[in-house]
Amino acid sequence: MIRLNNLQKEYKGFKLNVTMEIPEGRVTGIIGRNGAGKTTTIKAILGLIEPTSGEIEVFGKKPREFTGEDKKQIGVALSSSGFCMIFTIKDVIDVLKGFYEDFDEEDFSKKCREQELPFDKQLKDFSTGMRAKLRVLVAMSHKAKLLILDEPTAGLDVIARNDVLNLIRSYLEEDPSRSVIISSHISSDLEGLCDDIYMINDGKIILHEDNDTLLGKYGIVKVSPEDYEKLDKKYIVGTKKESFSVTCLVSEKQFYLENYPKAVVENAHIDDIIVLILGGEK
Amino acid sequence: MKIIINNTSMIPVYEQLMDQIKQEIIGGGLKEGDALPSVRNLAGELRISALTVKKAYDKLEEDGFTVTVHGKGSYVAATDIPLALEARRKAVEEEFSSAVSKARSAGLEDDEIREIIEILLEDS
Amino acid sequence: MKGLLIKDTKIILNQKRFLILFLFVAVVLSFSMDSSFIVSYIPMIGVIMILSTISYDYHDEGFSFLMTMPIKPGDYAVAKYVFTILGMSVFWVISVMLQFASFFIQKTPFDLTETIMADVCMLPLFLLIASIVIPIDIKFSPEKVRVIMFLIYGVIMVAFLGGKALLGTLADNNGIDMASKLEALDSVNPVFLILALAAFCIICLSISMTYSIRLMQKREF
Repeated sequence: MIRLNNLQKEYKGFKLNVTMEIPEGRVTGIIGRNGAGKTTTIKAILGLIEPTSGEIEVFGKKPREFTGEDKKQIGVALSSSGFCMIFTIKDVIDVLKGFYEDFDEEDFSKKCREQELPFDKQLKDFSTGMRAKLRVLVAMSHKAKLLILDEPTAGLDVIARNDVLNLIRSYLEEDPSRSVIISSHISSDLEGLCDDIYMINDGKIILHEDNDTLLGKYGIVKVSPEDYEKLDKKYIVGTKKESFSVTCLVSEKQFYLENYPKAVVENAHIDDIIVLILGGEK
Repeated sequence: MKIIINNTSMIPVYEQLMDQIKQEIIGGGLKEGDALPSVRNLAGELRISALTVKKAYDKLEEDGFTVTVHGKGSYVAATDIPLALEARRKAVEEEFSSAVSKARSAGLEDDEIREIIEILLEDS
Repeated sequence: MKGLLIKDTKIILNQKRFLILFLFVAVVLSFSMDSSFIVSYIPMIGVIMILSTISYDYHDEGFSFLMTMPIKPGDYAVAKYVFTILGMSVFWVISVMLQFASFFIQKTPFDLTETIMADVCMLPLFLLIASIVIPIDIKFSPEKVRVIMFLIYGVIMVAFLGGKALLGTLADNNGIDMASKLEALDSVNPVFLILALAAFCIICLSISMTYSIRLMQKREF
């Protein structure tokens, strides 16, 4: 469905070079720090920017050549861009009606009310949480096959984040053929939602794995510095040497569980994985 | 149906899922013909990846516990599960029995036979 | 494109306070002084408000999100021109209606032909202004646009005053009588003049729109 092949984009002091393949019906997460390249990648997928080089294909087309019909298939929520701030939800409804024939006014209004969004206030008077929820609801309002959400939970407290994630889950349950691409720097959001995860840093993809593998096979192994020397390094993906111990990220925790019963082996979470791949040495 | 995933366990989530669904089926909580929740539905409820649920469902089907109808979902299989398990265990026992006989007639000692089995188990 | 027009309409309608104030001033002006003034005042406010929708589109990086709507970048340009033409027509009609209302209420004597002539010239004039400003607004960021607009006003002023003086001097030096030439213009069929102005306006709008479409297609958001 989406194919990026050595897609490159250069800005002053930043260079993006990514290769990704995203099939239909997936929930794909893109995680990375601020400025790592998440938004740039998403803008390239949406045709908002022109690649410096490399190939990109979405629904079989170059995104810069999307027609109106192509764009109707995609529901978008961008982190710092939305409708005019002087609009109210009523205005947003009228505008969406004008853009999308498949806009479901009743459903949209119902969901806005459920999320307690005020209908008569201008968007500039909304709280951060309200704006984030509105953006996601707008993206979901016209039955798009693909949702692209850039940091939909940024700046939200844990309850609001949960609300947003649940909105996405219901959207997926309504139609199993729908896909989602979601970027975030909050890994716990992605762990409970995504099928596979791309980790991006400094414009490059440093890891791509199924979520199932990351949580099921990857693990953290902690040993003393002496025991570390004796460790079979076959499955070690990243290492961090501390004063009194060595922490390793491994891609097969089962191996270490069976062969090193004295070592401490823990489940790895995406945050650990990022820190150990970036901050440690191989 | 009750499914509880332990996130701190070393057992992979799909395995936990499989085990718990199998328990439900064997225990009678899920009866023949009952529909399992849709992949996305279960994934959303448990807050796990849909691929993980799919993996569990696929393996359940491989093991004969469920049947997947394309486009409709997964249903508890029509076979009588405890009996089917019994039958499969019996079949495995018979295969072991014939293998042991062959080994003995080839002149292998019991200890050697045990060694072979250990190695085989370790390899997988 | 329908969505774009609805959006722009809402941007204008949402500036309720400004609209009410400006309407109030317009009515006061039309009944207190030369009512023909409002046929230039109201469309001028109109063109400013209409062109300001572009800066609203820019605001808060809104352009990025706008371009994810089901439109092609070129459609944005076309819609802006359509909105400008429709919107200016509305402002113009309101201003002419107010003008005639004030004529009748104040019982001012007026020459129908001359008034209509002057009024009809207003619309193409403002559309010409728009045809210059829209591509500038699309191509440059709002801060740069401000600087450019100052320069343009300056250039127009200089050209107007300087050109007048230049023409006058040229004419005198070559023994051409400008005054009689201008009088000759008066006798040309007014309808012909208006049609010429309209044609010129349409040509300018078309060129401007083509250029704007190309600008939008090359842009990044």
